[in-house]
Amino acid sequence: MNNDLYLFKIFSMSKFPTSCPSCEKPLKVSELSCHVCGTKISGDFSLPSLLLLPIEEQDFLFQFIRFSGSLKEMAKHLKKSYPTVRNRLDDILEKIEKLDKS
Amino acid sequence: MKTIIFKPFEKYSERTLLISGILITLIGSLFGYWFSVRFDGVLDLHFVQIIQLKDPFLDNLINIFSLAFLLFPLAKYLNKKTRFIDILVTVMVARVPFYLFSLTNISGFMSRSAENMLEILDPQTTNLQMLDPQIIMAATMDNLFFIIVSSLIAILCIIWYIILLYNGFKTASHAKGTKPIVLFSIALIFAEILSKLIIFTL
Repeated sequence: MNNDLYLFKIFSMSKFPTSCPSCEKPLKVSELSCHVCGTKISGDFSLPSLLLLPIEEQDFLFQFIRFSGSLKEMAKHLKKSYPTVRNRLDDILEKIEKLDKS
Repeated sequence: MKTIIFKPFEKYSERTLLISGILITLIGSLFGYWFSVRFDGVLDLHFVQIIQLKDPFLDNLINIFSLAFLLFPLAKYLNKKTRFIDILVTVMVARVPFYLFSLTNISGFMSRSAENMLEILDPQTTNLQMLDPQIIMAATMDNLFFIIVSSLIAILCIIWYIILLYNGFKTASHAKGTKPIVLFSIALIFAEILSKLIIFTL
C-alpha cells in the first residue's frame, strides 16, 4: 500500500482505543485477521508507541510528515510560531521515548 | 485577545514579530522624546526636563541588547535549539508597556505633578506657615492622587512587561519548571545593572 494512503487510513479511522475502558490499563493486540481470506493470527502483540499517543498528537506527527519535516512550513499552516511548533514536537518525542522505555 | 496581550510569541512568526518589534521600538523611542522620558535601564523609566532625540533611541538600544545578550546564553543552556531571533523579538516586543506608560507624561503632566509635590513639601521653597493648611492639603492631595494613580499604572505595566518577557523566553527556550524562573530573574537583574552601567557611562 502507498505510504501516504496508509497514513491517511490510520488517521481517518475512528479513534483507536489504546487503554481499557474498564481499568484504564494499556490494551494489547490479541488477534489479527485478513479481510480477504479470513486467516486469523492469535498472539500477544504490543501496540507501537506511535499508536499509544492521543489522536491529536498522532495527527500532529502526520502533518509533520506531510510537510516533509519542515517545521517552518508547518508553523505557517497551523498559524503558530516556529518555536511553539518545535516545542510541541519535542514534547511528543519525549513522550514517545518514555513510552518506549516503559 | 489574551494571546495578543500576553503570548504573542506563541502565535506570530519571527518575521511578523521582528517587524512589529522594530516599529514598536521606533515609536516607543519617539514617545520618549516627545514626552520627555528616559528609559534608563532594562526595568527603568524616568521623566526628565531636558531630552535629546538620540537619548531614548540609545537607551532602548542598550536595554534591548543588554537583555538579549544575557537571556540568549541562558536560553541556549536550557535548550540547545533556542534561536537568537526568538529572544531578540521577545525583548523588543515585551517593551510595549514601557512605551505606553510614557504616554502618562503627555505635556509634562506627570513630571509637573511630581515637581509640585516636591515644592509643596520642601520648606526651603515654600513658607508653610504663611499658607493656609487647607490649601496645602488640597494641593498635596491633588498631586498625590495623580502620583498614586500613575504608580499603580507603572506597577501594572512592569507586571505586564515581565509576563510578556517570560512568556517569550519560555516559548523560545521551551523552559519548564522553577529552575528557569530563578535563572530568568537573575538574568533580568544583571541586565538591569549592565544597562544602567552602560547608559551612565555613555
